Amino acid sequence: MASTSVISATVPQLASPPNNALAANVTGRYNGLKCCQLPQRINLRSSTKNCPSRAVRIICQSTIQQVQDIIATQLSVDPSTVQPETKFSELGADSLDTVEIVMSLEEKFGVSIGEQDAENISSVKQVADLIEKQRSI
Amino acid sequence: MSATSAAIAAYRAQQRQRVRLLYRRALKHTRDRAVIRDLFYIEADKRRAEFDVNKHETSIEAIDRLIEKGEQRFEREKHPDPYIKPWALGGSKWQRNPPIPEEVEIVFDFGRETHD
Repeated sequence: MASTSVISATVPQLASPPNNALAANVTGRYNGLKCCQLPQRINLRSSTKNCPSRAVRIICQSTIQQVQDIIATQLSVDPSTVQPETKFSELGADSLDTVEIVMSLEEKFGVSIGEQDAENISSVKQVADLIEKQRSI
Repeated sequence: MSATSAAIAAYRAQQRQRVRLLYRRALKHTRDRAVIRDLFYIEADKRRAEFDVNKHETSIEAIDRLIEKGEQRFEREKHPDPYIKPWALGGSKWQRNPPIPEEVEIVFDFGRETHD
């Protein structure tokens, strides 16, 4: 658990860049590297309860949480109805919608899911597991 | 044409699989052709509409014919140089630096070899 505590200790730094950026557009001087960190690269398994502010909580989201948010946006449903065990057919998505969702998830996470793996996707958890598998390769 | 209903159901499932793959490939090649995102959304809607027009077909031969026509059209209109992620299958970095098997041990004695 030491690693997650280290990550949560360094993550609060990311909360400051938005304010600095607004001020920096006026003054023109800020550490550009801080603002360039991609939020989805941080893959915390622990809960988000120790993240203080809302911005940091978004960055701390796990893969399954991001997957659920994207699916809810794509299908225009309530994010709370999308649970890991939900099947796509329950959410009102037919097979072509599933293909579109998988494609948008591939683009968002920067992975490439093969055609054989993408054949039998039926639930949200399967997609998240596939993405995790591709990311760890 | 098989007589048993289980074989027909299996054939229909296979048709559904072909349609899914065709849609997936068509969408990806549309994205490669229409790189500007706004234009891609317009084109993707058109593809989806083309698939949705024939959504309610039921006869197996008609579905077969439609899939054939779709696949031939895809062959004609696909992108000649599709974008594949480099580390994915078919990309340029695929298996470029595979991990060394664990039985192999690297001995770091460069410059200190004894040449026995």
